[in-house]
Amino acid sequence: MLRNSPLANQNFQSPLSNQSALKSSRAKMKKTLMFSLSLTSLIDAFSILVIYLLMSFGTGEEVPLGKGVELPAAVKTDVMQQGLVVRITKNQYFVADKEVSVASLTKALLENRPKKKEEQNLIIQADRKLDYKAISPVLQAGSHAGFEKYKLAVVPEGAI
Amino acid sequence: MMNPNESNKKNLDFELNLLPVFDVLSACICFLLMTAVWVQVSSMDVQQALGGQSIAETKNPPSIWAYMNKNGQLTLTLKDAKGVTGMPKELAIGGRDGSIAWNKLSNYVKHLQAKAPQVQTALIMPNESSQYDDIIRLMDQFRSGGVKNIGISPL
Repeated sequence: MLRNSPLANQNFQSPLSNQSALKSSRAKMKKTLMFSLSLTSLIDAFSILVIYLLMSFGTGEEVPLGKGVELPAAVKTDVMQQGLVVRITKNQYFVADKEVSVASLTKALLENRPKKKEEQNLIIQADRKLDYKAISPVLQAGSHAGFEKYKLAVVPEGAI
Repeated sequence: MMNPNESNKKNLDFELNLLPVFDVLSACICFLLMTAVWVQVSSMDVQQALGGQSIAETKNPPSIWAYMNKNGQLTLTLKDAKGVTGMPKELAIGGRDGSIAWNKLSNYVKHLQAKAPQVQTALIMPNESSQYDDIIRLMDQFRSGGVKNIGISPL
């Protein structure tokens, strides 16, 4: 039965059987130089890695995180959607990655306001250590520019 | 004449070329690793109502207003919450060393959820020196207690 099987040509010897120090013939040395690499486990590991990386692909919108901004953490969060990003660092305001002054915030928001209604969200990326007096002007300017929905960017609690 | 057993053996012995499989898997892993987002950014939604209706027309839902004072004290006031019993109309939660007493607030939110589940609106009124981190944490506590609609008042 074994003669017809695809396993008939397989080497059933233990890899340790040739390791004996008592046999030291030349033929034996040749045998020890030929080794077989088991690729099954390697393919398994690769496949698991691919599946994990595919699963970790997020469904929400990706918003680039600006330099010098450490976002606050929260447990009950919503999925990020598309919108206009306003980044606030210490004494600096960036609308769509362009620095603007406090006085020209409303103008900049009006200029960059998305045309599609479902994208008219104002995404605020502010450093967690900032005082509210630095954030309040953005809310006011957003209101003047006609934004109804504000999305305060946070990092999910478990992700830190 | 050929032995039938030998021809069977030849047919069954086959070799699978694994190199293309490795190539595809490696390319896939490289692409996924490069495009992976390790820190997913989420959001906390804040809606701002536009004043399109007069005060007389607007029906105010039961809500809780949170005033963040400078010394870390938090004053919570229930508004338009008719029929709510067992909850103080106003409560001041004292701060500790300038920061909010989060444990007391958590207890209050749990109590609110049990006694007045109809309160689903909160308005946060920070002062100019309130830390953004504290505001987000306060919003998070309210949301954990079932308050869905959260507003924030500009200065």
